[in-house]
Amino acid sequence: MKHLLSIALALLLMLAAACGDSSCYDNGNALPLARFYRDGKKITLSNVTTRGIGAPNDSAYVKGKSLSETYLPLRASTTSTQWIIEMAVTNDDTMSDTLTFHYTTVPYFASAECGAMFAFNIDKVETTRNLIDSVELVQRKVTNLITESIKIHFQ
Amino acid sequence: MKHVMRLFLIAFALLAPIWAHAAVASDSVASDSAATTRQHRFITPVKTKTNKVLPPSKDVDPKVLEVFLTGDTLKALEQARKDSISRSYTRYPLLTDFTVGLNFADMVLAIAGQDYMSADVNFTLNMWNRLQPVLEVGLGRAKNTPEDGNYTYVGKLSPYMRIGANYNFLFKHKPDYLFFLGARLGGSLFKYQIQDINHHNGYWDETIKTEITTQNGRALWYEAVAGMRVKIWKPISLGWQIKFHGLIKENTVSQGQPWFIPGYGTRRGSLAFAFNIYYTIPFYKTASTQETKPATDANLTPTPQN
Repeated sequence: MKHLLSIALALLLMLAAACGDSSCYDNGNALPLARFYRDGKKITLSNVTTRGIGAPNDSAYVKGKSLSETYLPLRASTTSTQWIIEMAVTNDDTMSDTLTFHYTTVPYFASAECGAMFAFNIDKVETTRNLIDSVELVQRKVTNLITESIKIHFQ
Repeated sequence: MKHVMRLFLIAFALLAPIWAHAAVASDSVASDSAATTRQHRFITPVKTKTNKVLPPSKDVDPKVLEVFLTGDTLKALEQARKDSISRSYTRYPLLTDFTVGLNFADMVLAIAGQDYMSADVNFTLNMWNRLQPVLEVGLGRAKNTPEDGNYTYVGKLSPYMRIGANYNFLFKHKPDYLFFLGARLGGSLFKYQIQDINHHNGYWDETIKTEITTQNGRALWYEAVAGMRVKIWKPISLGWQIKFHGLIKENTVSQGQPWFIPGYGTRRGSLAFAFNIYYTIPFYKTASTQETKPATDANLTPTPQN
Protein backbone atom coordinates (compact mmCIF):
# COMPACT_ATOMS: atom_id res chain seq x y z
CA MET A 1 0.00 0.00 0.00
CA LYS A 2 2.88 2.30 0.86
CA HIS A 3 4.43 1.55 -2.52
CA LEU A 4 1.19 2.24 -4.38
CA LEU A 5 0.89 5.61 -2.62
CA SER A 6 4.46 6.52 -3.60
CA ILE A 7 3.77 5.54 -7.20
CA ALA A 8 0.58 7.62 -7.27
CA LEU A 9 2.52 10.60 -5.90
CA ALA A 10 5.25 10.15 -8.51
CA LEU A 11 2.61 10.06 -11.25
CA LEU A 12 1.10 13.31 -9.99
CA LEU A 13 4.52 14.96 -10.01
CA MET A 14 5.07 13.69 -13.54
CA LEU A 15 1.72 15.19 -14.57
CA ALA A 16 2.67 18.53 -13.07
CA ALA A 17 6.05 18.51 -14.78
CA ALA A 18 4.72 17.38 -18.11
CA CYS A 19 2.29 20.19 -18.84
CA GLY A 20 3.53 22.15 -21.83
CA ASP A 21 2.15 25.46 -23.04
CA SER A 22 1.31 26.76 -26.46
CA SER A 23 3.00 30.18 -26.44
CA CYS A 24 5.75 31.37 -28.77
CA TYR A 25 8.58 32.76 -26.66
CA ASP A 26 10.81 33.58 -29.64
CA ASN A 27 10.25 35.97 -32.53
CA GLY A 28 7.51 35.37 -35.07
CA ASN A 29 10.02 36.22 -37.82
CA ALA A 30 13.69 35.55 -38.43
CA LEU A 31 15.35 38.81 -37.38
CA PRO A 32 19.08 39.52 -37.21
CA LEU A 33 19.96 41.16 -33.91
CA ALA A 34 22.76 43.75 -34.06
CA ARG A 35 24.53 44.95 -30.90
CA PHE A 36 26.65 48.09 -30.59
CA TYR A 37 30.27 48.05 -29.39
CA ARG A 38 33.11 50.51 -28.91
CA ASP A 39 36.61 49.34 -28.01
CA GLY A 40 35.20 45.85 -27.51
CA LYS A 41 32.63 46.94 -24.92
CA LYS A 42 28.87 47.14 -25.27
CA ILE A 43 27.65 50.73 -25.56
CA THR A 44 24.33 52.56 -25.66
CA LEU A 45 23.90 55.22 -28.32
CA SER A 46 21.37 58.04 -28.04
CA ASN A 47 19.18 59.51 -30.79
CA VAL A 48 19.52 56.52 -33.09
CA THR A 49 17.28 56.06 -36.11
CA THR A 50 17.29 52.94 -38.28
CA ARG A 51 15.65 52.76 -41.68
CA GLY A 52 15.50 50.07 -44.36
CA ILE A 53 16.22 51.29 -47.89
CA GLY A 54 13.14 50.60 -50.02
CA ALA A 55 10.76 50.26 -47.07
CA PRO A 56 7.16 51.43 -47.75
CA ASN A 57 6.90 55.21 -47.29
CA ASP A 58 10.59 55.27 -46.35
CA SER A 59 9.46 54.57 -42.81
CA ALA A 60 11.87 54.29 -39.92
CA TYR A 61 12.09 51.05 -37.96
CA VAL A 62 13.43 52.88 -34.89
CA LYS A 63 13.28 56.69 -34.57
CA GLY A 64 15.43 58.81 -32.23
CA LYS A 65 15.81 56.29 -29.46
CA SER A 66 18.63 55.35 -27.13
CA LEU A 67 19.77 51.89 -28.16
CA SER A 68 22.39 49.31 -27.33
CA GLU A 69 20.97 46.81 -29.85
CA THR A 70 18.46 46.68 -32.66
CA TYR A 71 16.82 44.25 -35.04
CA LEU A 72 17.50 44.77 -38.74
CA PRO A 73 14.75 42.77 -40.56
CA LEU A 74 15.78 41.33 -43.92
CA ARG A 75 13.60 41.08 -47.03
CA ALA A 76 12.71 37.51 -47.93
CA SER A 77 11.91 38.42 -51.54
CA THR A 78 15.44 39.62 -52.35
CA THR A 79 19.01 38.44 -51.74
CA SER A 80 20.27 41.68 -50.22
CA THR A 81 18.91 44.34 -47.89
CA GLN A 82 20.31 47.74 -46.99
CA TRP A 83 19.87 49.51 -43.70
CA ILE A 84 20.74 53.07 -42.71
CA ILE A 85 21.85 53.71 -39.14
CA GLU A 86 21.57 57.41 -38.36
CA MET A 87 22.74 59.20 -35.25
CA ALA A 88 22.38 62.85 -34.12
CA VAL A 89 25.89 64.23 -33.60
CA THR A 90 24.75 67.77 -32.64
CA ASN A 91 21.28 69.32 -32.38
CA ASP A 92 21.20 70.09 -36.11
CA ASP A 93 23.64 67.61 -37.53
CA THR A 94 23.29 63.89 -38.06
CA MET A 95 25.70 61.26 -39.36
CA SER A 96 24.78 57.94 -40.88
CA ASP A 97 26.16 54.69 -42.21
CA THR A 98 24.68 52.13 -44.60
CA LEU A 99 24.85 48.42 -43.87
CA THR A 100 24.38 45.98 -46.76
CA PHE A 101 23.46 42.36 -46.06
CA HIS A 102 23.97 39.70 -48.73
CA TYR A 103 22.18 36.44 -47.97
CA THR A 104 20.16 33.47 -49.14
CA THR A 105 16.69 32.66 -47.87
CA VAL A 106 15.26 29.30 -46.92
CA PRO A 107 11.72 28.44 -45.75
CA TYR A 108 11.91 27.47 -42.08
CA PHE A 109 9.48 25.81 -39.66
CA ALA A 110 10.24 27.26 -36.23
CA SER A 111 7.60 25.48 -34.14
CA ALA A 112 3.88 24.85 -34.01
CA GLU A 113 3.50 27.94 -31.84
CA CYS A 114 5.82 30.37 -33.67
CA GLY A 115 4.86 29.10 -37.13
CA ALA A 116 6.68 28.98 -40.45
CA MET A 117 8.89 31.78 -41.80
CA PHE A 118 12.01 32.47 -43.82
CA ALA A 119 15.42 31.88 -42.29
CA PHE A 120 18.48 33.67 -43.70
CA ASN A 121 22.02 32.50 -44.30
CA ILE A 122 24.10 35.70 -44.31
CA ASP A 123 27.03 35.51 -46.70
CA LYS A 124 28.48 38.98 -46.25
CA VAL A 125 27.85 42.30 -44.49
CA GLU A 126 29.29 45.53 -45.90
CA THR A 127 29.30 48.99 -44.31
CA THR A 128 30.27 52.58 -44.89
CA ARG A 129 32.63 54.04 -42.28
CA ASN A 130 31.32 57.40 -41.08
CA LEU A 131 30.31 56.31 -37.60
CA ILE A 132 30.98 52.61 -37.85
CA ASP A 133 34.49 51.19 -37.65
CA SER A 134 33.65 47.58 -38.61
CA VAL A 135 30.96 44.94 -38.64
CA GLU A 136 31.50 41.44 -37.27
CA LEU A 137 29.29 38.54 -38.31
CA VAL A 138 28.67 36.43 -35.22
CA GLN A 139 26.09 33.98 -36.55
CA ARG A 140 25.50 33.33 -40.22
CA LYS A 141 22.16 31.55 -39.86
CA VAL A 142 19.37 33.82 -38.71
CA THR A 143 16.23 32.19 -37.33
CA ASN A 144 13.56 33.43 -34.94
CA LEU A 145 15.77 32.70 -31.91
CA ILE A 146 16.73 35.79 -29.95
CA THR A 147 20.50 35.63 -30.39
CA GLU A 148 23.12 38.14 -31.49
CA SER A 149 23.81 37.91 -35.23
CA ILE A 150 26.19 40.83 -35.80
CA LYS A 151 28.43 43.14 -33.78
CA ILE A 152 28.66 46.74 -34.98
CA HIS A 153 31.88 48.35 -33.74
CA PHE A 154 31.62 52.16 -33.62
CA GLN A 155 34.56 54.57 -33.93
CA MET B 1 37.03 -54.09 49.66
CA LYS B 2 39.20 -51.57 47.91
CA HIS B 3 37.09 -51.98 44.78
CA VAL B 4 33.87 -51.48 46.69
CA MET B 5 35.21 -48.26 48.26
CA ARG B 6 36.36 -46.98 44.86
CA LEU B 7 32.93 -47.67 43.32
CA PHE B 8 31.21 -45.92 46.22
CA LEU B 9 33.40 -42.82 45.82
CA ILE B 10 32.77 -42.69 42.07
CA ALA B 11 29.04 -43.07 42.61
CA PHE B 12 29.09 -40.30 45.23
CA ALA B 13 31.07 -38.00 42.96
CA LEU B 14 28.54 -38.54 40.14
CA LEU B 15 25.38 -38.34 42.17
CA ALA B 16 26.28 -35.58 44.65
CA PRO B 17 25.83 -32.66 42.20
CA ILE B 18 22.55 -34.12 40.94
CA TRP B 19 21.29 -34.55 44.48
CA ALA B 20 22.40 -31.02 45.39
CA HIS B 21 20.74 -29.55 42.24
CA ALA B 22 17.54 -31.49 42.94
CA ALA B 23 17.48 -30.14 46.49
CA VAL B 24 17.82 -26.52 45.27
CA ALA B 25 15.19 -27.06 42.54
CA SER B 26 12.72 -28.56 44.97
CA ASP B 27 13.22 -25.55 47.26
CA SER B 28 12.59 -23.05 44.44
CA VAL B 29 9.57 -24.98 43.16
CA ALA B 30 8.16 -25.00 46.64
CA SER B 31 8.68 -21.27 47.12
CA ASP B 32 7.37 -20.21 43.66
CA SER B 33 4.70 -22.81 43.27
CA ALA B 34 1.97 -20.22 42.52
CA ALA B 35 3.98 -18.56 39.73
CA THR B 36 5.12 -21.73 38.00
CA THR B 37 1.60 -23.06 37.67
CA ARG B 38 0.72 -20.05 35.46
CA GLN B 39 3.71 -20.44 33.05
CA HIS B 40 3.39 -22.88 30.15
CA ARG B 41 5.82 -25.74 30.10
CA PHE B 42 8.75 -25.86 27.71
CA ILE B 43 8.85 -29.27 26.16
CA THR B 44 11.94 -30.41 24.31
CA PRO B 45 11.15 -33.62 22.50
CA VAL B 46 13.68 -36.30 23.27
CA LYS B 47 14.03 -39.89 22.28
CA THR B 48 13.15 -42.07 25.19
CA LYS B 49 15.89 -44.22 26.65
CA THR B 50 18.71 -42.24 24.94
CA ASN B 51 17.60 -38.72 25.95
CA LYS B 52 18.68 -37.53 22.47
CA VAL B 53 17.03 -34.26 21.33
CA LEU B 54 14.95 -34.92 18.23
CA PRO B 55 15.14 -32.54 15.23
CA PRO B 56 11.93 -31.16 13.67
CA SER B 57 10.73 -32.33 10.28
CA LYS B 58 12.33 -31.01 7.08
CA ASP B 59 11.29 -27.70 5.35
CA VAL B 60 10.98 -25.85 8.63
CA ASP B 61 12.26 -22.31 8.51
CA PRO B 62 15.64 -21.93 10.31
CA LYS B 63 14.22 -19.09 12.44
CA VAL B 64 11.38 -21.34 13.53
CA LEU B 65 13.91 -24.05 14.16
CA GLU B 66 15.87 -21.73 16.46
CA VAL B 67 12.74 -21.08 18.50
CA PHE B 68 11.99 -24.79 18.45
CA LEU B 69 15.39 -25.61 19.86
CA THR B 70 14.93 -23.21 22.74
CA GLY B 71 12.26 -25.63 23.84
CA ASP B 72 9.30 -23.29 23.29
CA THR B 73 7.48 -25.59 20.90
CA LEU B 74 4.15 -23.74 21.14
CA LYS B 75 5.76 -20.48 20.04
CA ALA B 76 7.58 -22.30 17.22
CA LEU B 77 4.34 -23.83 15.99
CA GLU B 78 2.59 -20.44 15.98
CA GLN B 79 5.49 -18.82 14.10
CA ALA B 80 5.51 -21.61 11.53
CA ARG B 81 1.79 -21.11 10.92
CA LYS B 82 2.23 -17.36 10.32
CA ASP B 83 5.19 -17.99 8.03
CA SER B 84 3.28 -20.48 5.90
CA ILE B 85 0.33 -18.10 5.51
CA SER B 86 2.55 -15.22 4.36
CA ARG B 87 4.25 -17.37 1.72
CA SER B 88 1.10 -18.91 0.41
CA TYR B 89 0.49 -17.51 -3.14
CA THR B 90 0.37 -18.91 -6.62
CA ARG B 91 3.68 -19.27 -8.43
CA TYR B 92 3.28 -18.87 -12.21
CA PRO B 93 5.47 -20.60 -14.79
CA LEU B 94 8.18 -18.92 -16.87
CA LEU B 95 5.79 -18.60 -19.80
CA THR B 96 2.57 -17.54 -18.12
CA ASP B 97 0.76 -16.05 -21.12
CA PHE B 98 1.13 -14.10 -24.35
CA THR B 99 -0.92 -11.00 -25.08
CA VAL B 100 -1.62 -9.07 -28.26
CA GLY B 101 -2.96 -5.55 -27.77
CA LEU B 102 -4.17 -2.61 -29.82
CA ASN B 103 -3.54 0.94 -28.63
CA PHE B 104 -6.62 2.86 -29.75
CA ALA B 105 -6.30 6.05 -27.65
CA ASP B 106 -5.30 8.30 -30.55
CA MET B 107 -7.96 6.78 -32.82
CA VAL B 108 -10.64 7.97 -30.40
CA LEU B 109 -8.98 11.37 -29.99
CA ALA B 110 -8.61 11.72 -33.78
CA ILE B 111 -12.36 11.15 -34.15
CA ALA B 112 -12.82 13.85 -31.51
CA GLY B 113 -10.73 16.26 -33.59
CA GLN B 114 -7.09 15.68 -32.66
CA ASP B 115 -4.75 16.64 -35.52
CA TYR B 116 -2.42 13.67 -35.20
CA MET B 117 -2.67 9.96 -34.54
CA SER B 118 -0.46 7.03 -33.62
CA ALA B 119 -1.83 3.51 -33.41
CA ASP B 120 0.13 0.41 -32.54
CA VAL B 121 -0.16 -3.30 -32.05
CA ASN B 122 1.73 -4.53 -29.00
CA PHE B 123 2.98 -7.99 -28.08
CA THR B 124 3.59 -8.89 -24.44
CA LEU B 125 5.09 -12.06 -23.03
CA ASN B 126 4.17 -12.60 -19.39
CA MET B 127 7.01 -14.35 -17.54
CA TRP B 128 6.30 -15.67 -14.04
CA ASN B 129 3.43 -13.14 -14.01
CA ARG B 130 6.11 -10.59 -13.06
CA LEU B 131 8.39 -9.60 -15.92
CA GLN B 132 6.82 -8.72 -19.25
CA PRO B 133 8.96 -7.99 -22.31
CA VAL B 134 6.97 -5.79 -24.72
CA LEU B 135 7.26 -5.04 -28.43
CA GLU B 136 5.07 -2.32 -29.93
CA VAL B 137 4.83 -1.69 -33.67
CA GLY B 138 2.69 1.04 -35.17
CA LEU B 139 2.00 3.81 -37.65
CA GLY B 140 1.50 7.53 -37.12
CA ARG B 141 0.34 10.50 -39.17
CA ALA B 142 -0.54 14.16 -38.67
CA LYS B 143 -2.27 17.03 -40.42
CA ASN B 144 -2.53 20.30 -38.61
CA THR B 145 -3.60 23.77 -39.75
CA PRO B 146 -3.65 25.98 -36.64
CA GLU B 147 -6.32 28.67 -36.63
CA ASP B 148 -3.81 31.41 -35.80
CA GLY B 149 -0.97 29.79 -37.74
CA ASN B 150 0.41 30.47 -41.21
CA TYR B 151 1.01 26.87 -42.36
CA THR B 152 -0.32 23.33 -42.72
CA TYR B 153 1.83 20.63 -41.14
CA VAL B 154 1.59 17.26 -42.88
CA GLY B 155 3.20 14.25 -41.21
CA LYS B 156 3.06 11.40 -43.69
CA LEU B 157 1.99 7.93 -42.53
CA SER B 158 5.23 6.53 -41.06
CA PRO B 159 6.20 3.54 -38.94
CA TYR B 160 7.54 3.42 -35.39
CA MET B 161 8.60 0.78 -32.90
CA ARG B 162 9.03 0.54 -29.15
CA ILE B 163 10.75 -2.14 -27.16
CA GLY B 164 10.87 -2.54 -23.40
CA ALA B 165 9.48 -4.39 -20.40
CA ASN B 166 6.97 -4.10 -17.57
CA TYR B 167 7.17 -5.29 -14.00
CA ASN B 168 3.83 -6.48 -12.64
CA PHE B 169 3.34 -5.55 -8.99
CA LEU B 170 0.29 -7.82 -8.71
CA PHE B 171 2.33 -10.96 -9.36
CA LYS B 172 0.74 -12.69 -6.36
CA HIS B 173 -2.67 -12.39 -7.97
CA LYS B 174 -4.20 -13.81 -11.12
CA PRO B 175 -2.75 -12.53 -14.42
CA ASP B 176 -6.25 -11.19 -15.14
CA TYR B 177 -5.36 -8.06 -13.18
CA LEU B 178 -2.08 -6.23 -13.70
CA PHE B 179 -0.60 -3.07 -12.26
CA PHE B 180 2.80 -2.42 -13.72
CA LEU B 181 5.66 -0.01 -14.17
CA GLY B 182 7.79 -0.24 -17.28
CA ALA B 183 10.32 1.33 -19.56
CA ARG B 184 10.46 1.64 -23.34
CA LEU B 185 12.92 2.66 -26.00
CA GLY B 186 11.17 3.99 -29.09
CA GLY B 187 12.32 4.90 -32.57
CA SER B 188 10.82 6.17 -35.81
CA LEU B 189 11.84 7.00 -39.37
CA PHE B 190 9.32 9.43 -40.78
CA LYS B 191 8.60 12.07 -43.41
CA TYR B 192 6.89 15.43 -43.09
CA GLN B 193 6.30 18.60 -45.00
CA ILE B 194 4.95 22.10 -44.34
CA GLN B 195 2.42 23.29 -46.87
CA ASP B 196 0.64 26.59 -47.50
CA ILE B 197 3.17 28.78 -45.70
CA ASN B 198 1.95 32.34 -45.82
CA HIS B 199 4.84 34.51 -44.66
CA HIS B 200 4.19 38.18 -43.92
CA ASN B 201 6.79 40.77 -42.94
CA GLY B 202 5.13 43.84 -41.48
CA TYR B 203 8.00 46.28 -41.87
CA TRP B 204 8.72 45.48 -45.52
CA ASP B 205 5.01 44.92 -46.09
CA GLU B 206 5.55 41.82 -48.17
CA THR B 207 3.70 38.50 -48.13
CA ILE B 208 5.27 35.41 -49.67
CA LYS B 209 3.69 32.01 -50.14
CA THR B 210 5.98 29.01 -50.02
CA GLU B 211 6.29 25.47 -48.70
CA ILE B 212 8.86 23.15 -47.20
CA THR B 213 9.11 20.04 -49.30
CA THR B 214 9.36 16.53 -47.84
CA GLN B 215 11.84 16.27 -44.97
CA ASN B 216 13.21 13.04 -43.54
CA GLY B 217 13.19 12.74 -39.76
CA ARG B 218 14.71 10.21 -37.38
CA ALA B 219 14.04 10.11 -33.65
CA LEU B 220 14.92 7.96 -30.67
CA TRP B 221 13.13 8.39 -27.35
CA TYR B 222 12.56 6.85 -23.93
CA GLU B 223 9.34 6.25 -22.03
CA ALA B 224 8.62 5.51 -18.37
CA VAL B 225 5.29 3.73 -18.21
CA ALA B 226 2.72 3.10 -15.47
CA GLY B 227 -0.37 1.14 -16.32
CA MET B 228 -3.17 -1.22 -15.44
CA ARG B 229 -4.89 -4.12 -17.24
CA VAL B 230 -8.18 -5.69 -16.27
CA LYS B 231 -9.88 -8.78 -17.68
CA ILE B 232 -13.25 -7.94 -19.20
CA TRP B 233 -14.47 -11.15 -20.79
CA LYS B 234 -12.67 -14.48 -21.24
CA PRO B 235 -9.41 -13.67 -23.13
CA ILE B 236 -10.32 -10.00 -23.63
CA SER B 237 -9.00 -7.30 -21.33
CA LEU B 238 -8.73 -3.52 -21.32
CA GLY B 239 -5.97 -1.33 -19.96
CA TRP B 240 -4.54 2.14 -19.82
CA GLN B 241 -1.03 3.50 -19.60
CA ILE B 242 0.37 6.87 -18.66
CA LYS B 243 3.76 7.62 -20.17
CA PHE B 244 6.45 10.12 -19.28
CA HIS B 245 8.72 10.49 -22.29
CA GLY B 246 11.62 12.47 -23.69
CA LEU B 247 13.69 12.59 -26.83
CA ILE B 248 17.14 11.00 -26.64
CA LYS B 249 18.32 11.82 -30.14
CA GLU B 250 16.97 13.17 -33.42
CA ASN B 251 18.52 14.23 -36.69
CA THR B 252 19.02 17.91 -37.36
CA VAL B 253 16.86 19.25 -40.16
CA SER B 254 18.01 22.62 -41.55
CA GLN B 255 14.46 23.74 -42.33
CA GLY B 256 13.14 23.15 -38.83
CA GLN B 257 12.49 20.25 -36.49
CA PRO B 258 9.27 18.21 -36.84
CA TRP B 259 6.22 19.05 -34.77
CA PHE B 260 4.96 15.46 -34.70
CA ILE B 261 6.93 12.22 -34.31
CA PRO B 262 5.01 8.98 -34.96
CA GLY B 263 4.70 6.97 -31.75
CA TYR B 264 6.00 9.85 -29.63
CA GLY B 265 3.39 12.51 -30.33
CA THR B 266 3.97 16.24 -30.50
CA ARG B 267 7.08 17.89 -29.11
CA ARG B 268 4.98 19.84 -26.59
CA GLY B 269 4.86 18.35 -23.11
CA SER B 270 6.35 15.13 -21.90
CA LEU B 271 3.24 13.12 -21.15
CA ALA B 272 1.33 10.63 -23.29
CA PHE B 273 -1.55 8.22 -22.72
CA ALA B 274 -2.45 4.87 -24.17
CA PHE B 275 -5.63 2.83 -24.01
CA ASN B 276 -5.41 -0.77 -25.11
CA ILE B 277 -7.66 -3.68 -25.83
CA TYR B 278 -5.90 -7.02 -25.32
CA TYR B 279 -6.32 -10.63 -26.35
CA THR B 280 -4.48 -13.06 -24.06
CA ILE B 281 -3.37 -16.60 -24.86
CA PRO B 282 -2.55 -18.47 -21.61
CA PHE B 283 0.29 -20.99 -21.68
CA TYR B 284 -0.93 -22.97 -18.65
CA LYS B 285 -4.15 -24.87 -18.19
CA THR B 286 -4.50 -24.17 -14.51
CA ALA B 287 -2.19 -22.16 -12.38
CA SER B 288 0.50 -24.43 -10.99
CA THR B 289 0.25 -23.85 -7.32
CA GLN B 290 3.29 -24.49 -5.21
CA GLU B 291 1.78 -23.29 -2.01
CA THR B 292 3.67 -23.75 1.18
CA LYS B 293 1.76 -26.16 3.35
CA PRO B 294 0.25 -24.45 6.33
CA ALA B 295 1.99 -25.46 9.52
CA THR B 296 0.26 -28.16 11.45
CA ASP B 297 1.16 -30.16 14.48
CA ALA B 298 1.86 -32.98 12.08
CA ASN B 299 4.61 -31.34 10.06
CA LEU B 300 6.27 -29.88 13.11
CA THR B 301 6.24 -33.21 14.87
CA PRO B 302 9.78 -34.40 15.33
CA THR B 303 10.93 -37.30 13.24
CA PRO B 304 12.58 -39.97 15.29
CA GLN B 305 16.11 -40.79 14.29
CA ASN B 306 17.91 -43.91 15.22
